Amino acid sequence: MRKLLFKNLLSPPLTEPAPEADDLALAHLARSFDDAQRRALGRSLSIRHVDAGSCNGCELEIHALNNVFYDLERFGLRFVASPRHADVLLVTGPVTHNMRAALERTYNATPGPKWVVSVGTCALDGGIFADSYACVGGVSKVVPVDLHIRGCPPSPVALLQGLIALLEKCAGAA
Amino acid sequence: MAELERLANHFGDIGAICNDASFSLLHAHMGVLREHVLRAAHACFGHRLMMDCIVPGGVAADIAEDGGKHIRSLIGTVNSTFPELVSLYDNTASLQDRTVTTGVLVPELALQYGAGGYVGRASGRSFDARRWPGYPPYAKLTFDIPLREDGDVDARVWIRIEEVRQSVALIDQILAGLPGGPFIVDMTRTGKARADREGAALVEGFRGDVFAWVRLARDGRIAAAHLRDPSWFQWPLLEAAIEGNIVADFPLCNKSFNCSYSGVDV
Repeated sequence: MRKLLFKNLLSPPLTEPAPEADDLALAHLARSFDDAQRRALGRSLSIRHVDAGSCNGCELEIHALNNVFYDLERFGLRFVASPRHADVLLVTGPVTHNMRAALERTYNATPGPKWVVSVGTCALDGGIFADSYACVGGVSKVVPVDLHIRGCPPSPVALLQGLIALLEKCAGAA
Repeated sequence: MAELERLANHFGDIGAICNDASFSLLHAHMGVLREHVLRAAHACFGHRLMMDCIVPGGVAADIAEDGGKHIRSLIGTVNSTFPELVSLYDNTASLQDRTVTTGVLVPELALQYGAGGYVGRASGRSFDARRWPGYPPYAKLTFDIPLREDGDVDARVWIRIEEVRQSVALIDQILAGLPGGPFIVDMTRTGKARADREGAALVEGFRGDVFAWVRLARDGRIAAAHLRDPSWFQWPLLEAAIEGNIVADFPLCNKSFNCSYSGVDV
């Protein structure tokens, strides 16, 4: 183990430079921030992920955000285990009828100021599950959505671009 | 593609199991390997998770022109880093202390529930859909099916490690014998068939055997379908495996099974 650790010390980090904030997302977010919220949160956001009936493809890429290439925490973004600790709800899936109440309760349990980020094609409009008898179809039908990150599933870079846009708005930098 | 997917997920699982024993060093390194596989998949097939790349009649697109190069470089990376990480797993006493004899699944139960994949193979059930009933091109390829009897978390990790080695060798063979010619046949047909048609398939996914059954109506639309994820037979066994273990070892047992939520909800 010592040899491996030593080698790691000498080799350059694998973490890649931050991608630019997504322009579309920035424009979209302009309306959802005010100065008071910026002061309250600074440049750090806690994220609670809610799976509202996803195929788990989005989850795989969300997990990838924590690997050394993307290293989400360097941006002040971190995942938390309870909506009570969260500023942002990251919602995936087409919202199945079975998960609707859970999503609503999670939203209500999250203290304000809060934002909802929907992730993936399903979360936008139900995706391939749209019009299914089992699905509500789209996160915005259940809770207000502030930002949508596209893709099936969105790549970790796309997720980072969206979340960084949220941070920039939050810090008042944009 | 199936072997690349197996590689990516086994890397992820091995790392995550170690992470649940608070050994985050291996988690970070396995995460790097997993990311390399996903990037190679993207370079070869245009999608990191290879979703929608296999379609009725063949594959959606031919492998990228420089795909072979990407995969060979991936295999080079795996061959140069994986053995060192395996010996780190094998020689770290604090990690072994958590995985060996933890979450034992007895072979009788694995057999009774028909558990496939690493869950079955770590508990003495050697079933692998690639071997039996088998499907092309595996009959032409040489590979071993690793088998263990101990049935603990450690055994499930070792099955994955062995399967990574087998998959790397398989990818090498597949790449060497990659046939030319069309990669898809046209499945659209006009007119109505005389009767409903149905078909079933059993494919070895990374978790185990995935069963799919589809019935087509006369006009070609899907009339009924059923997909059975390997986790169907593995979730109930997790309950048996955690019996008598301390609470702190539950994450380890759970992660060593890594059953699918959405696969069972389908």
